[in-house]
Amino acid sequence: MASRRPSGPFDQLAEYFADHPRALLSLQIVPPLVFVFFFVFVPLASIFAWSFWTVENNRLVPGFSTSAYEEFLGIGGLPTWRLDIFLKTLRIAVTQTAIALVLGFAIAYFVGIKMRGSKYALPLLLLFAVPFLTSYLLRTLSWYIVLQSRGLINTVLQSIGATNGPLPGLLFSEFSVHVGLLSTYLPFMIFPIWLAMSRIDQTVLAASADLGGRPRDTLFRVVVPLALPGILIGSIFVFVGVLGDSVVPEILGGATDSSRTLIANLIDKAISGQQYPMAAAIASIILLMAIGLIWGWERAFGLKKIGEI
Amino acid sequence: MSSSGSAISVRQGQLEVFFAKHGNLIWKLFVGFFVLYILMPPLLLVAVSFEPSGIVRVNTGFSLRWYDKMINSRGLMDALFKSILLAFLTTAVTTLLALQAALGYRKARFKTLIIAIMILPIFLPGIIQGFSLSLLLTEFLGLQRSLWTELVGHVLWALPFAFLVILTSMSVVKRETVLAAMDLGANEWRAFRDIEYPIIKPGITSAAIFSYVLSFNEFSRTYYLQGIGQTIPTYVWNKITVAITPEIFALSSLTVILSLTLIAIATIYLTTVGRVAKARKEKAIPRPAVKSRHKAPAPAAATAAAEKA
Repeated sequence: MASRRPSGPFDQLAEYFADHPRALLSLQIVPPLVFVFFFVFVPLASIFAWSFWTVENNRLVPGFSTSAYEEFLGIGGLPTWRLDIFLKTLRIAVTQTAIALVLGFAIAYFVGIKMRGSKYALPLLLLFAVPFLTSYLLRTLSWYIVLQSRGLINTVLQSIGATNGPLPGLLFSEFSVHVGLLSTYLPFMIFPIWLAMSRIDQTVLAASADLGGRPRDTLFRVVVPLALPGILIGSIFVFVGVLGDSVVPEILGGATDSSRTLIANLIDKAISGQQYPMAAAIASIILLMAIGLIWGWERAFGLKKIGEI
Repeated sequence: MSSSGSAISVRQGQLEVFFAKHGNLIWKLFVGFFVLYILMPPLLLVAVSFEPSGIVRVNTGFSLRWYDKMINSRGLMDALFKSILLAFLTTAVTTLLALQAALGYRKARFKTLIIAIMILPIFLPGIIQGFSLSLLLTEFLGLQRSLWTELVGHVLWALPFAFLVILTSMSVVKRETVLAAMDLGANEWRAFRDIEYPIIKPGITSAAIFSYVLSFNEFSRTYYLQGIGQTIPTYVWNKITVAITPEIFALSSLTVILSLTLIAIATIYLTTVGRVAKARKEKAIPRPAVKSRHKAPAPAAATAAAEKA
């Protein structure tokens, strides 16, 4: 120990931490974890409590009232329009998850299995990561240009003489909502599935072929079962994402018409109307669904797999 | 019965022959379509921003009038300035926290739990996170919505991405390399500064760039956390919920170009992580920069480090 000659403030600190490795570890890992815990987990846990509170003079007051849930569910002769919108959102979320699953699985299969070992696999995958980083708002807005009456699709169709006027139902429809949602949530499906597939050993695939398995057999009996954790977690991400999406229905669904509103728009409306318990109740229901799905996934595959996904 | 069965199998056979012949082309067209699906609409925003007429449509000509209008719009330039300031603050805080988390992660137990906590915010619907955080900060901590509350939301959004990027770049660093440095007398700080940091520097740089882009484009959380003054995304949102007008597209197109450029730079940086480490190994240049290198090895420190690992 005496041979060490610290030469700067950082070296002196390092000397100290060499004898106290746990102190250094705490200094490194604790601030980010505390930050995330305090600003993510505490508010999320509070949401459940707030949903039972009441509002007096535009402020939340502690209490226990289930009126937000009763209003949401339409219990006791209250109107059920919120519940109707929730059920419609569930239907759209399931449809969207199915669409994203089929397309995302195919793309992940191409990148993860067919392009295995190619130097173009990673750059291709990175192209699909671009939506994570670019503006979700602008991406949705750009679909408005593609789909609107003087937009790309209608202009092209009319200039080649395929149609005389704008196609109906291209914008402000469930179709346009699905188109917009897909461009946001497809990468959420591709990446977990690709990650699960990239862990499938090449020799396993070769063995399946050697034993006389046709490509189709290898796909359904080897690749799909091994990629199942990725497939399910990707589906959960897409499903929960759609439940929490308010921008796509507003821009592409025409949310000014209440029949096209999705559940997240109701949270937004409740907040601007300062109905905080209602906003918290809807958010709680979405969160509970997310927690339930992830809990089921954990029961099936174990938390260890999260490290792999 | 049997004849219809064989007819189906013949048709299936034909289908398989067709796929065997053109399978690769079909795959490439399929994946290529979805690359375009994800990348083309934002580029269309750029095209539309040069449309000379006053309506939102596919271009009929080229004009810079909407850029002129943008520069002369006070509110818009204020929003741009605020977005840039916020993005710089987010970058600084996020990169530091992400680096700390990544350094601590290697030594910590409960690795899967840490990963799960750190990356959870990616998959939380922004509206729920923004709403719950805003209520916690304003109603319960008594804070005013301001630049600082926005900063918290932005850091939460960017942190998981930055953490994953730095963690990925650290996977290149071999534990033995660091141990060797410590065997030669470097303390933990020196081992980090002289050995590890040069290798992971591209990873840190791209994590910083990703944080910047993510903050610049963040919408849902900012919407609920912002104080006086809008950022680019919330400015765009407030305009388009009233009416979608062309001047928005000048701003949008600048944002898209900036984001895509930065993403490209960050990606290129990130791919140099492995290469730097490789080049180091191949050249094996002695590094004279380590000033306080001791001749005598410090076996105590090395064994302590080995036990930790």
